[in-house]
Amino acid sequence: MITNLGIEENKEWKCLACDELLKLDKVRIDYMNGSFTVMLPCCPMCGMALVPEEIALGKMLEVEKLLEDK
Amino acid sequence: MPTALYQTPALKRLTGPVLRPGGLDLTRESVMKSDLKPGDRVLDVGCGSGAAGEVLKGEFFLDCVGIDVDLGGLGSGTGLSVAEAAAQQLPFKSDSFKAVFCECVLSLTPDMGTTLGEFYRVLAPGGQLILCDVYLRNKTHWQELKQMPLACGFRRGLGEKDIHKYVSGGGFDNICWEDLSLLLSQLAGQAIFEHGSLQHFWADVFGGECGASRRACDAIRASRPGYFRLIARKKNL
Repeated sequence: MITNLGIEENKEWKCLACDELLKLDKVRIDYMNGSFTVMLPCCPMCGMALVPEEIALGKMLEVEKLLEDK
Repeated sequence: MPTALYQTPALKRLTGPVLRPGGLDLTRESVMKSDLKPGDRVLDVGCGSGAAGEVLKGEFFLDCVGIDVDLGGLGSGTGLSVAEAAAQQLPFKSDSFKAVFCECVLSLTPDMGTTLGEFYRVLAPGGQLILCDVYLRNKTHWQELKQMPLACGFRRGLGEKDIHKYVSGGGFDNICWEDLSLLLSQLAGQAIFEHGSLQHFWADVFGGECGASRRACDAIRASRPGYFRLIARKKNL
């Protein structure tokens, strides 16, 4: 799931399926043949992770350019 | 001598005790690619914390000896045989090792030719040199890199051809080169996730954003750095 709120603002998000507050946790992202560990708000029950827009469009875009060797 | 990149807390946080792209999995893979057998005597040049030496000893049952110019970072209780020594002046008899592991260290030595000559000397005939390091895919920014107030492999400004020339000039043959640049990109990607951008990572390395950190970041990026593994053999006389 992607949101346009920042990580700090995501503290009160709840997982709809589990009714659990999301907590920041280390998540492994496999992306373009690379594997990275990122802190993301996650559901402690089912593991669903929320990707804030700042990561999707900021850091991930920079990583994408790096991996594409641009 | 400027501060070394591997000594900075920013890199230590990023890579853990191994301090290089690929981590210990790359060391494991290198052993698999070699023809080493349990009991073979091997040298780990720049053993640092001793983490790779422990893998060589504990997982592959190799008789591993480590050297480093500074053994201060050696983990307690590693049980590794070590000596404080420089790579270009090894305190070992000639023809005494089946393999020399030199992972992300050669580019930091003051004279690569002398260092490779020492590796050749201590290797037994037919012994293997297992080398991993950074290289540049665009050498046009070598002057900016050389001026960086930070000791790191990028400053050497070497391309693939230069490295081949050094290794073959040292007497080695059966040179096998593998491009592992994805591992360096992956490490840089992790730095972006942790610091927000590569500029912020280099600022952390330099202790705060400054002209030197910006110039280093720009010159390294423009040089399109890569990472390689090279396995070569000392001639069987």
